[in-house]
Amino acid sequence: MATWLVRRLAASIAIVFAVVTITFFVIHAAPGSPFLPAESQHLTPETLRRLSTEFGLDRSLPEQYLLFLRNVVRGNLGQSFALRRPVADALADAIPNTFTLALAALIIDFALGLALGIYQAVRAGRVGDVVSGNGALLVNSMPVFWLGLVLLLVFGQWLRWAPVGGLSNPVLCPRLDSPACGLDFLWHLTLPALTLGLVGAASTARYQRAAMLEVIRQDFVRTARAKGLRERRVLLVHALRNALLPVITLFGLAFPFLFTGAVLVETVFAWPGMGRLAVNAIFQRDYPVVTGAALLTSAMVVLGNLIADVLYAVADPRIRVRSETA
Amino acid sequence: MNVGNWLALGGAAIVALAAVAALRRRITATASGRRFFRHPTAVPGLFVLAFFVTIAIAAPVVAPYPPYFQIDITNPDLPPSTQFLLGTDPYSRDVWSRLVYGARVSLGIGAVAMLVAATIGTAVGAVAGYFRRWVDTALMRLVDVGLAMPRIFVLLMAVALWEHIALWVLVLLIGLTGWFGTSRLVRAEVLSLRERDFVVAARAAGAGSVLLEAGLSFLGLGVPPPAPSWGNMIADGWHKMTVAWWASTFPGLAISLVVMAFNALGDALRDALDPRRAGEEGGEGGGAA
Amino acid sequence: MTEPLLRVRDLKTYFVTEHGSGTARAVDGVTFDVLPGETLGIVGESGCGKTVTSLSILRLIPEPPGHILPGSFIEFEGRNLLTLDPRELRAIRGNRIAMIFQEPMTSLNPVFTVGDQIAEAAIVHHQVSRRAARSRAIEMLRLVGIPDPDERVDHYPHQMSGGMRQRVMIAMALVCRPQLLIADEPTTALDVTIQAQILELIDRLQAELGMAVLLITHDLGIVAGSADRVVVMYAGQVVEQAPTATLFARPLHPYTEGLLASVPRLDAPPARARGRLRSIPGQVPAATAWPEGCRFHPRCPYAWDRCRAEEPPLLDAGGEPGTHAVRCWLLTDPRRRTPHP
Repeated sequence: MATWLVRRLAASIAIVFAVVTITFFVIHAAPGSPFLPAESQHLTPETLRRLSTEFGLDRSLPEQYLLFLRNVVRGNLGQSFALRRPVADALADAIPNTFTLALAALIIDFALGLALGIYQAVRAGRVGDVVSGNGALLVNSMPVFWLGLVLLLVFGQWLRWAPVGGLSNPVLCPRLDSPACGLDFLWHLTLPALTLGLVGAASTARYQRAAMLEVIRQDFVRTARAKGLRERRVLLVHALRNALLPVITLFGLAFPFLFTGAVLVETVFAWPGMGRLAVNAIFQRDYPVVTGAALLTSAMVVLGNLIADVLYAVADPRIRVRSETA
Repeated sequence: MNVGNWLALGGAAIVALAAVAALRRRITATASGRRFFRHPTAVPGLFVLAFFVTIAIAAPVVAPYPPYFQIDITNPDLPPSTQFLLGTDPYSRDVWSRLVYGARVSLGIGAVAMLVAATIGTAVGAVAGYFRRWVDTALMRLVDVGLAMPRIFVLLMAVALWEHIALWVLVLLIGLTGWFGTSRLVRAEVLSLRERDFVVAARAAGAGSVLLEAGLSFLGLGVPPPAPSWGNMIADGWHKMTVAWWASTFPGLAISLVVMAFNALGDALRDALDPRRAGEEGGEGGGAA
Repeated sequence: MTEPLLRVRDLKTYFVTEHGSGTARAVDGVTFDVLPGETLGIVGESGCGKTVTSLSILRLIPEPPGHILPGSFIEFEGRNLLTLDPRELRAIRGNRIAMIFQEPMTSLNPVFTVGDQIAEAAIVHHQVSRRAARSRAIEMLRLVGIPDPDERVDHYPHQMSGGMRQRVMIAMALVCRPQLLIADEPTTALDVTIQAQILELIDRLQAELGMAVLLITHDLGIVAGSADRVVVMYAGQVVEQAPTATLFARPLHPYTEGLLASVPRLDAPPARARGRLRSIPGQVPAATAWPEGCRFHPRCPYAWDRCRAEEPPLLDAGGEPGTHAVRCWLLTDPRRRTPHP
């Protein structure tokens, strides 16, 4: 297991390294100097000089590449033009918000998705399965930001059950420093998390249903029944443990979805996360921020896949034992 | 909407039905074709796609107004009525007309991007699966990297760096960033010959492209306005969602319907090509042994 | 005469086939008894309904598409299994009646250790602690002849060979000391040498634990070695029933004759191709369309008009009363027992 993990970790680092490299060359392939876009006249000559030395724009390309790598490793992602602060700092402010949103969405995604998928598989072919199955297919087919808009319209504007955006109430809770403000934060989190979570849950349910149906018709499920186990235990222990294996792969796939979706959902709900930071940066041609966000997101995706692989290995004894003996 | 538009709309529905019926006659000659049509979502899915394709082609007769025509700029945001089937948007354009013309853009992008992604994905996957050894290793590591970079960020980076991109470049980029998953499945297919995985991959590429275009356009970074893509339409109506919900809601519904039809067809096709299910058809009920 | 442990009367299990091609009458009026401590063999080609019969006893038929018809009757230890509520039924499954299946490779759950799977039934039925159940599992593994049971108890099914897994299945089935073990083709998926070991194991455990065994197989050779009595099934029905020695010495149904003729003997060249009985022409008909009259008549070398028109009942074949029964019109007209030219 240890060697396998080390190998897997090395591969992940290699992928992130490749992403960094590609990012570097994309920046250099772009018209103009990477740090001197046409619109950034508002930068003082002094800042420009400092940036030039910092990123070694006066040196050769290989040298610049090495410098870029060194800076990235040190967590120096450059200076934001628009925000007039280091990109790493701006990202560090935004990451917790995106992370909270993604985590809440992930919980809704899997809690709802797994429950629905199991329900559908157990009731396969009956009314409940057909109705919820088509409903899930529809939600799964919606543009996530559009679902956000609709939820915002219905629950935020018409019913006024939820706030229309932001992290917290700007007047009463400018900072999250009391339990009441913690609740206020959760209340603001509800709609964006639900938006992302519902679309994810629709997809999770479809996978889970298929996986359960596949497992239910296998011989060992009949063995479990022949043992005199309750139907609940047959389905939720014997069948589900096996049906969860393919869903773990889905867990790895959920990461790209959550981060991609966050870009759009954060824009809809004015949620000050990484996605909104990146989108605003694009409009201001502030691409150190854009590339920084892209880098970080890729790292998250790779990490998500790694976690999924590890979970898979832990959950499936066939893989676990093989990697132990390997 | 005048009588002519209504007739054209009805005609489009009939053409779509006829197309589905014709396809059904053609395809049910084979066992997998019969399985495909027995799937409950196959016919509705085909119909929805055929219908949208028909109205996209017949846009000038189905739409009462040209897509850019501003009816009365001093009086925008009219609710749905018999004159404006789906209302008018904040720029006083007929939402239905733009939806119809937008089908051309959105479906076109989906189709082209899927084609690009499927072609490159198949080629790369086949090469990797056929040559094996270091070619395979190199290509699959490339795919790992490609899958690690979220498409929307790659596209955002491209748009940020190159300022204004032409529509065809955008479509190409959407296609070029969508083939990684396909190639991985095709490689597995070359190694084990399973066409159903390819269906899954192609479906994901197509549906994903339509949704991606909508997302990019919504952020104002996709199809340049005022071109009527469905994503643009949602973006145009978004800020006045509270007073004129129809301008953003209907294009989003259209996207959902088309993508759902696409997914449903993919499901039906995958099940029809599933060799295990193929075995079930000939078998007797129950495991009498 | 001793009271039977299991009494099956007029069991009918039908399947509704997909796409409306009709009803498959997989088991169509089967009657037999299992006495305490005996081994009853059920023999027949694949498709004759023997597996469905065995699954029907514990009501393991998937519903839908399958269903057991009203009027069927399965009595075990004086109770009708077909009218028990789910809780009462569960108390019998795996506890009083246990079952082992044909495919040891797929019948064990791949994600649980064999120890956990064996212990589970003991925990559920005998309310023993996890610890006690674990030592029961180890004891069972030793009983079924698995070396190093203390270590093997924590292994997963994929770490074991097919024969080992079938031993685990047996350990799992017997952990609650059932009165009846249903063994559905327990050795079909195994190598010949392993087959003999598994059968020997079942025989030994049967003697030690004093249980009855319902042995379902397509292989008359297995029946000859293990069973006290034999039920021969064809096309969803019992066609002949006799003590093993009688059946082998004096088979009366033409189908039994055919089966016996196809068993490889030392004194004759092997006549059986794998899975197929060469000496009986034709194939088992589809369960959706059994032939009119005697269901065997299209393949029977003696068939005459009556066989095509009228379905024979189970007729007593003499000997000790109620031991040998045959579903064949030849019993009423023995002179016709000459094959057609």
